Amino acid sequence: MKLIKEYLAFTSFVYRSVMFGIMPLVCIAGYICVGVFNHNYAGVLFSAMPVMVLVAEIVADTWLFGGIQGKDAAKIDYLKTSPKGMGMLRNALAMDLVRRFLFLLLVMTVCALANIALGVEMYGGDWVRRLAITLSLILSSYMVSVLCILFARFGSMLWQNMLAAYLGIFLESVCIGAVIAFDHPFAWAFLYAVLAAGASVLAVKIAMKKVRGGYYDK
Amino acid sequence: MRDLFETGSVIRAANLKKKYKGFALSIPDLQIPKGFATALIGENGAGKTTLLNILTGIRLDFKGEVAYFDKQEKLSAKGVQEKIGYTGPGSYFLPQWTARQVADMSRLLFENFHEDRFWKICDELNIPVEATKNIKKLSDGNRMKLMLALVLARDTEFLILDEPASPLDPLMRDKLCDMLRDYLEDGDGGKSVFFSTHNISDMENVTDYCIIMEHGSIVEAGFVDELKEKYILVKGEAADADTAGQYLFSISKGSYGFEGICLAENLDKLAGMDIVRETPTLYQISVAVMKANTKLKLAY
Amino acid sequence: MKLLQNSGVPIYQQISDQLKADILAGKLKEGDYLPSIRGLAKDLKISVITTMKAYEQLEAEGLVTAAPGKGFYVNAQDSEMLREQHLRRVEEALLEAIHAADIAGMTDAELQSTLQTLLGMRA
Repeated sequence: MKLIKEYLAFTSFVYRSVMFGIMPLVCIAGYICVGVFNHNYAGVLFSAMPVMVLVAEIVADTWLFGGIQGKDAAKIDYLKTSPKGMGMLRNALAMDLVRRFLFLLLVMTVCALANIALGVEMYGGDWVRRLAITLSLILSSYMVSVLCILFARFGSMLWQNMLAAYLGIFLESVCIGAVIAFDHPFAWAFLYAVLAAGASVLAVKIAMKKVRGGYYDK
Repeated sequence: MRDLFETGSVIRAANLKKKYKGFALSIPDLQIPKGFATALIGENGAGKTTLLNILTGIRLDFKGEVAYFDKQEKLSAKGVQEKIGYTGPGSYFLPQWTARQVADMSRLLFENFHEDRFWKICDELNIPVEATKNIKKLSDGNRMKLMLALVLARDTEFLILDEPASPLDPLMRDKLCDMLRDYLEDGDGGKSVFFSTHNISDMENVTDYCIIMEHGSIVEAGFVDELKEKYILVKGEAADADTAGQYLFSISKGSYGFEGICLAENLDKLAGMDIVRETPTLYQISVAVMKANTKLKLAY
Repeated sequence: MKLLQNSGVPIYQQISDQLKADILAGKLKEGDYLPSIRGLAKDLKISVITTMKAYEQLEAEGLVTAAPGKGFYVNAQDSEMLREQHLRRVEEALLEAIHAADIAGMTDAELQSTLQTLLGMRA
């Protein structure tokens, strides 16, 4: 509970409305609509879904931790006037990553269930293979999203996050392409999981290192 | 002279040292009296912000000892930092935060934060707190007011305010003085304020103790009433200006006469001249002391 | 209490003068506490040290006593001391007159006769 409260304190009302409400709803509702009308389009959209979520996440991060690794914002003196400040920031950074993963998982799971319910044909093969591909999509999207915010958080401007999002689209396309081209979905899922874990640790560490750096001369 | 050991001090620091390129802070001894408002005055670059940052604990790379409150505890001791409120320039918040978020954070950061009091002060000071209004959209004055609301919404015992008056308009500066006097009265001798300022005149009637810094050192410190006895404003005839000039700092000469600040102990050296004496304002004392120590090339 | 910002008389002096007048006139009685230092500073919109200085001055003159942690209370006023206070004010005023006379180049005799004349006018 404490962790969630600490994280929520860093999110503004607008951020919460968009990222916790509108974004997942639009993704899921949009996907189901497409799935109802056209199975072929839905098949394509399913692979594109991680990219869309990723773009939303990277762009929206400018209103959450945008600029936290930047030179000016790195001090955040107000947090440092409390003995709890740095711990709270670290928890919030970590919880943000957990939330990102869970939302991606939620959206993709619902879309996958919609596929089953609507009978959308995808990827071929048995359900284990489909599951593995879906999993590698989720993990790669999460990993790319974290890597891109890692890059974007050095600046506080919206265009920097947009740029990171473009980079994200490219990287994620490569990741998805790799899964589909080289037919070892479990190997890819495993690789992305390892990379995702590494990126997560890095994201928290770098942000904390930058903010703590404000205590000292650079 | 009032004895600082007698009135008690909220901060005692010894051998503070901090070096940057081309600047060195060196304060062998610093005491801030308990129960009073202390002003920190000095030129830009004198080291005021560096000193305040060290005392606040947001700058850790320095040498020396700082002890807080009656028990002379370290900042890291339990509950010490909780009792200190700080407002400062620069990156105090993340620019995308809103007032609502800052209130949410404060509840988690400080046990002594009263959210109802915070919203009440925001309302009193007319701070825009709409959900869509983030801090980067606030004017400097409103940003300052928001910081003040945050620290005043807490039950602190010591406020460290870096340039609180600069971004405020005259009406709000007056209000700031009122709020600080309220704070001191509320503590009845237990609460103290330490603020840096360039707006000496505006803050004079809330200043009890004064510390003047130049080039990283303290060049003058004392209770304002004692400083006003130590320094005398002298005005005299033009003919005596050059002789008097040796004993005055911050002298201004004109064809009608001269005016300058003189140490009370040097006053007898001006005997025989036709002079009038006046109690200087804190502003005049500060400027005189700063002029005597500045590296600025001022033409006298 | 009325304070003048630009009268030339220091604020603390104005405060102690007015409190002194209240004490001598019996408005503040023996054992009464003066307003708290920080409370008065807040009401008068002046610094704490200014009120403190005013109170310290009253204390030095023996009109009030500081009770640590409680504030300042008014002492019993003996009539001898009251007279002393008034005499001191007379002396101060006369000294000022003498200084003015010096600048005007009046002789002592002239000054004395002026005083006589003024005394005559009063009666």
